[in-house]
Amino acid sequence: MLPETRPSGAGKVVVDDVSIRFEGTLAVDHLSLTVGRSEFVSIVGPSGCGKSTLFNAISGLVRPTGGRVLLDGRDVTGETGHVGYMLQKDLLIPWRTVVGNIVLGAALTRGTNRQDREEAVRLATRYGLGDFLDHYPHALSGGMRQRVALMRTLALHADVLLLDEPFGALDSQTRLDMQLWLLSIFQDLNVTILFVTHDVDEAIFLADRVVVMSPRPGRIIADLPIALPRPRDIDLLTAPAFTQLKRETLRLLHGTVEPAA
Amino acid sequence: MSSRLPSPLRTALLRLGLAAVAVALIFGVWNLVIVAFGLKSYALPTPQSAVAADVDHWHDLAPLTLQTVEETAYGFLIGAAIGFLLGVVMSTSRTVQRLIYPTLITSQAVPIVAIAAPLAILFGFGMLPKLVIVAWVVFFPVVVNVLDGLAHIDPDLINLSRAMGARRGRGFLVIRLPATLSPLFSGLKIGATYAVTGAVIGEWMASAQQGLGTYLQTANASLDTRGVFGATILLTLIGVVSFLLVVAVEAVATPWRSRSTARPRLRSRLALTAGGSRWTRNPGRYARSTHD
Amino acid sequence: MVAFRYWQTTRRVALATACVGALVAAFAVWAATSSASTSAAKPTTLRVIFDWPGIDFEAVPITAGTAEGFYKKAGLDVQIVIPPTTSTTVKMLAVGKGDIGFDTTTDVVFAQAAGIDVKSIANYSQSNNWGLVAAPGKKIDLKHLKGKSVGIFTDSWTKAMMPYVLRAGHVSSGDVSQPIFSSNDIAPMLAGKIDYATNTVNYAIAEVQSATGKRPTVLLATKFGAPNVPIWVYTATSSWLAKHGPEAKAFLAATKKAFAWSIAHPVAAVKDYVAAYPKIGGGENYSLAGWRATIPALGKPGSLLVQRKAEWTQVAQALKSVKLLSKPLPASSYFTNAYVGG
Repeated sequence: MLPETRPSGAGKVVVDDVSIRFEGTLAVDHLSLTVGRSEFVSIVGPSGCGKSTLFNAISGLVRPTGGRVLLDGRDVTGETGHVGYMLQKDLLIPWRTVVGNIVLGAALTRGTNRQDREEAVRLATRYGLGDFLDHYPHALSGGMRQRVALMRTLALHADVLLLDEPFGALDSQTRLDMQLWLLSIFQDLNVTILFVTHDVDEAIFLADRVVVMSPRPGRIIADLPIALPRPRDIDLLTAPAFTQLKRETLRLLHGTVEPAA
Repeated sequence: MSSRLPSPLRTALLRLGLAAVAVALIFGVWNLVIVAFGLKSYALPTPQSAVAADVDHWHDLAPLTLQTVEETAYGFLIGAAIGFLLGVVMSTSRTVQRLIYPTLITSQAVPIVAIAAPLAILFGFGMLPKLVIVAWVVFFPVVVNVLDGLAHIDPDLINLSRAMGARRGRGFLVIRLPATLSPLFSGLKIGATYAVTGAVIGEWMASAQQGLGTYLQTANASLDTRGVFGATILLTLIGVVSFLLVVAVEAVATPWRSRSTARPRLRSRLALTAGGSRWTRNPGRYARSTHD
Repeated sequence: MVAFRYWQTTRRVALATACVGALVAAFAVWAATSSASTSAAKPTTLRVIFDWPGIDFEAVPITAGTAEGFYKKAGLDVQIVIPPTTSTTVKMLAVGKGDIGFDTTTDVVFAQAAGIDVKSIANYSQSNNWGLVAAPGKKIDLKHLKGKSVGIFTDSWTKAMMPYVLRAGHVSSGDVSQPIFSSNDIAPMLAGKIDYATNTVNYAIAEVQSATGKRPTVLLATKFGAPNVPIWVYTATSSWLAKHGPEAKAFLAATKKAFAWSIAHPVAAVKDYVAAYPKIGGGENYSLAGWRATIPALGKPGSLLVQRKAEWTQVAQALKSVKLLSKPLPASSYFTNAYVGG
């Protein structure tokens, strides 16, 4: 059956038996998932398996047709503003500078103040964009824009981050840089991260657990613990333990191995 | 370095030079056509004679030009404001859009010359009918462009702002309103070019004040073809200058379209110290608290 | 970077110039072929170009001439050509789109000043019937002109006459509001939007009578000092006259007969006119009122169509004094009585 973690209410993020029906089709089917505090969970699955729809439900953009979403034990189903959400598109606002984009969360809610901007400057400077504070997005490279987008997400000070294929549009070199950067951020802060990706290497490299989803309607078919040491470094990518995990994940993904009961 | 001028100045001079060349070419072809076809001056005067006529009569033409410019400018501002407001209002609801849009399109399909006469009867012969006509000409491209701009905001961006917990009013101010700026200026550029024609038509119908439009008619009536073309050149200039003014305002209002970095502000709001301090996480102040 | 954009801009400039050049060339071709197609007017057909983009009761003598056979007896087939806009009659004559023109005296003066050799060959009217018009029953009070509004047009006749109005009222141009109209100042006057309208009296009477059934109050400009110069004339280019002298004479002789007949039989003449232009032209009531109001301006039966030298010197002077004309020419440049008479 489904090797799921029973919703115990004790996790940081609890997806409790969520189903989402979308324009007539069932996108997500009775999915349950518990993510612990400061855990990094990668979610992999074939295209159209409902990963993004699941994120939309967790972030409150979409109300699930069944089930509920709990944050720190509290029911936040259908409520926005509790998590940080980042997409593959950087969605940077063209008429705002780097700093202006980073403070977007504040701008959209209570209004920015001096402290927000100073913090944004510190954030940007710390992570290598100190010379580009007043630049407009069109003057930045793709990688830089995604970095700004991630900083925008971090500036929300949310405990939980939903990252939906944030590095998918970048070239592999930049992608690796960004992964290492994300790992260092994860190290610095006590955030809980849910990370959707198509890239199995990336999923394993970053996460504490890899959740494998089935094709539509989306269900969890496997939940793989990743017992690799932190902090992660590049050598791990070619280590035997990594390859073993990758083999297992790929088999689960492509259906050549039945999930363990 | 070398004795070259700074780059923006060079670009501006280059553009100016090319514009002068373009005008010279047009004048040249104009003269060529006159010579080639043996056209008499009452049919098609030379551009030089038309310009000379303007220079000769500048004393009389100056106040007329000012009058027409005033009609154009005020009418343009009114039309732009109405167009912008209408566009924003219509973007809020599909029903409102479906109600108003057909009326707007019909208003533009009606030939201005047809409505100008009843307008003179309704509003008299002062500034008002001309302002109405100019605004009529200007507002439509503005509405269409503003509406399009608002409709084409990336829906993912809207979703993102919702996911961030954006309040409705703030979302409008931070995302939707600034998104109208670029398309607004596209509409304004079109409106600016045609606005002066609206002013002339307004003057033609009935006018207590004298402007370039009435001068055109008088010159035509006295077979003063040089005067007619001279006035036409002036009107064309007004249209071109209007367009360029909008372009200039656009560059100031939408700096991200032409610059890589924002203009430095007069008072420095940012403490641009590259800190050695670790960025520490503050507890969320605005993310709705998930703690007890 | 700059070099690349410069090259793109140059191409755009070249394309724009080519388009403008093509447009100007197309216009020029049109103008040139128009003049080239000046066919030698057929011996029997005469095209008379009207002065206004529309037809009205001033065409009554010519339509009567056709309907009653005066032109046919002279071996002529007279056709009226309606111009596309105002102030184009002279130009159309010059490029050969017509043979005879029906035009204003001032247009002849301007044509000569612009180097177009158009001459007046006969008077249509013999007096200046331009003046101020007020609503029926209302008085025209020149003593209290200050602060009033007088509707004017952009034509040169109005411009030449207005100084006389101002002088008669002892006011300057700034004391009187002069809203400019393009086609009709009678309707606004009747609607009370302006105090007085300016117009030729025959049109004013026709308009007001057909609209209200009453006669308007009229004050002729000649009553307060304006020169008694006729407004309308028949014209032709000197080059056409040189080739078609006999036709011109025949036309004017037949036209004189048509004038006399139309004056003596106004109702029948207007019926002929309305039959020729049933849809446009104003209708029977309007046209009859207008033709009847035109008759007084046509002069005494014995002096129909004949011109006086003094008219032409006067009109040139009047235009010069309002700065519309820099160099008045001798009267003989403007008119000739050689084709009228008999």
